[in-house]
Amino acid sequence: MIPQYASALLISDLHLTPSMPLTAQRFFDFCEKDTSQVEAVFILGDLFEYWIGDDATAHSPFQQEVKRALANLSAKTKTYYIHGNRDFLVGPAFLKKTGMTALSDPSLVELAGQQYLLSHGDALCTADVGYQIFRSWTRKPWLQKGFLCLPLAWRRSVANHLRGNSHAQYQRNARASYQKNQIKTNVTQEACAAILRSHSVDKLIHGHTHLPAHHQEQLGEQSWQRWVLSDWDLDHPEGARPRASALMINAQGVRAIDLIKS
Amino acid sequence: MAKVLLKTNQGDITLTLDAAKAPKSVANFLQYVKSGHYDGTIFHRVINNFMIQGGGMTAGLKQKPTGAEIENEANNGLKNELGTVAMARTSDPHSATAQFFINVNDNEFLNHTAQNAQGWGYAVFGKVTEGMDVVDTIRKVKTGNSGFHQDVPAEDVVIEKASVLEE
Repeated sequence: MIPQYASALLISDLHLTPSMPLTAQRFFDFCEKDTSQVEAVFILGDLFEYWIGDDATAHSPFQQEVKRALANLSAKTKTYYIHGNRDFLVGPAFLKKTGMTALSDPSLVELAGQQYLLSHGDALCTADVGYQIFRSWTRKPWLQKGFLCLPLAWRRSVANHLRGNSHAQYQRNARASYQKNQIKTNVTQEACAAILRSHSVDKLIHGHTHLPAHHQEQLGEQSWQRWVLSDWDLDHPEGARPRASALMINAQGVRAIDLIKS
Repeated sequence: MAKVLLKTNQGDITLTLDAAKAPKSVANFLQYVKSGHYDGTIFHRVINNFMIQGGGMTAGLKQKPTGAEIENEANNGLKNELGTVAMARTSDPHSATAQFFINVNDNEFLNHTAQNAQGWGYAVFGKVTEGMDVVDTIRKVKTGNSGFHQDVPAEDVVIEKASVLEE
């Protein structure tokens, strides 16, 4: 049985950390106020900037606040969670505490009578071969289990190292070739076509790339629609365009909602 | 209250400054106006539903030399509401020099919430009292990326002359 709802809100890529309090505050407000009109909320990954185990920051005030917001949300609105590339270690303990239901990536859902395939999106970036190798390793359950057995300080240092690498690589790429980087860090048409074909559906919604858009795409005989969710950032207005938005799906169709204005 | 006229290539904008609530920001701004710093600078960052920012670069995105960084007066109670003018800065709260922005939306998330790097907010020191239609024109201009800068108007929006009307 695939989840079916008459209306839903979808968000992703909030990259929440204690160092981004305004973004977090907007998320808390979202949980409390913006979700009352829909039957379900889907979080398509990277809710957190990084996650090194449910035990890691279980008692930090920030984590408590996030947990409270999510628990309150899921108590009134069914809330689903797809893991992202930064928070793929969000585990059963956290999901239980917050009342969210995990969905596998990708997952088929029916919203307002239409079927959509939901994904975080990183698995669709098949032009980035290096990342896909990294991803296949990090998603191995035995390796995850091993990692979660390490002392917290070690896990933290691994996470910081990976984030540092990712940032350094991003900056190198940005300098070397903006165009090439755009291709490498975006989803490929081939991957989208294949995943949609295998689920016999023609509508895809994902996050990850931070390139919010609604695309009409075609490859050979196959055509589909693809919606990309926006990342959120209200904490660096001096440099980055402030953004916080969600995709609303109901009887009126699919539309992006700007959460800064509302 | 001090008044400053910005003559732009899109029309005139009058700013009324609140020296009572933001004395340091206003004094700083007036000094740049009087020294002619703003003449020939552009609005180099224009985001339609957010703000228009300028006063630091000339055509071609050339940075103009500025004076010292000033204290952030965002804790003065003035809010980043539609039509207000505030000091731009880097991620360091107390790093404003010459660049300023005009809010074209109620940007609540720019307001002061706490005395730390994350919560300082952006210091409002005045508001547009004439020429909001000109601000509207500017916020809707076509923009694109230029080098490492985003949201740069495709055609320069130039402050041809800034002058003090009243002090």
